[in-house]
Amino acid sequence: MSLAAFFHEARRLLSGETDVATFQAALGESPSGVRRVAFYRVLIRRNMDKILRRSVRPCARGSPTCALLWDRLRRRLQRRPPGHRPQP
Amino acid sequence: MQRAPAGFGIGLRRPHYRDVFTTPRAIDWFEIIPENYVGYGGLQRDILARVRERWPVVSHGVSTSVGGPDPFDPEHLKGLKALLDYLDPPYFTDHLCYAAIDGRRFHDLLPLPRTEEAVRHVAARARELADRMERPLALENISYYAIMPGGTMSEEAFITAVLEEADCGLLLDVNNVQVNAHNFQQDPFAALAALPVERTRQVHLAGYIVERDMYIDNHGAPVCDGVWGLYRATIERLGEVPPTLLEWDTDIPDLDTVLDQLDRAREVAAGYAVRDAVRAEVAV
Repeated sequence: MSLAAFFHEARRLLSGETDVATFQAALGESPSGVRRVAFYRVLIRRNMDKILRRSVRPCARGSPTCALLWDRLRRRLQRRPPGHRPQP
Repeated sequence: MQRAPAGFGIGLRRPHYRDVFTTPRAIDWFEIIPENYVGYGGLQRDILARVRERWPVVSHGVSTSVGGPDPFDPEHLKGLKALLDYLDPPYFTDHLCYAAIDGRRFHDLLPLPRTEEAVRHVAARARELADRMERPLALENISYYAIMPGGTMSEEAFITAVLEEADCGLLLDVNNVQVNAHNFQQDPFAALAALPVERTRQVHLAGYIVERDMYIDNHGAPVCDGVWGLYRATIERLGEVPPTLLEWDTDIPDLDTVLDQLDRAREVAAGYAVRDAVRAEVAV
């Protein structure tokens, strides 16, 4: 497995274009198992939500209207991923 | 004149901006996340200027993606270099990981496959980064939750190989040693013993949370007893106390709570000499 192949498949997995089964079919099995690899998609989504809550305060209030806005924002970011850096 | 960290420091965080100047309690130095300052002015830079007047400040990056495939962002590096020149620390730090691919940032510190090719790749980029910043780099051992396919090395062997090939320092995150050991059923002291501890420029202490069967490194809890034990073992192996930082980034409590943890670190380190600032400049 080349590093270039790894990054290609990792990008597809982490951005939600493919699943762990496809990732492992291309690169081989992770010794830590499917669930652990999939957990990175959870972590990335959590981090993105954390950043959005700080950036877009109304979304943090959690009303039904805000939930709709939240979903629209998330879908937009899925189509056009941000390039900025995180600020913990 | 370089201002080297020595002793026990904390991360400079917004909720503490006022209190750090008024507390009578000891803080020896600060660490900042450069991404919060590069390209920004205003209050943050004013606070940083005031902190810099009183304490050594070191820079701990989270987004340079040292292990990633993308060329370094020249604008970010230009800003980082200016910030480092302003702070003038004896070294700067980032993580042994990747964080972006094809310009897409994942907002996490992601593990690489532990291969010889990855060693050469990361080491070359670490050398490039240090050269462009014109000061030594130390890389942090990250917490990770999955082993990437294709690897042929242990985590400790991979870290050792990268640091040797890059000839750079280790930012030893003791909490990450504990988290990884638990998550992969290892003895944390054996994991620590296998790391190139002699390359330690600086130590991080932090807390984790438990989620299902995993420890999650979230910097949002007090340091646990196991991590204090690993910290003591690190000091015993080094024979001195390296610059030690208490990280608290999630659900940040009041400053006194953070400083209580720093005092605990001083107690654990008791009996050993603090690495002095001059040696901190020339170590590694």
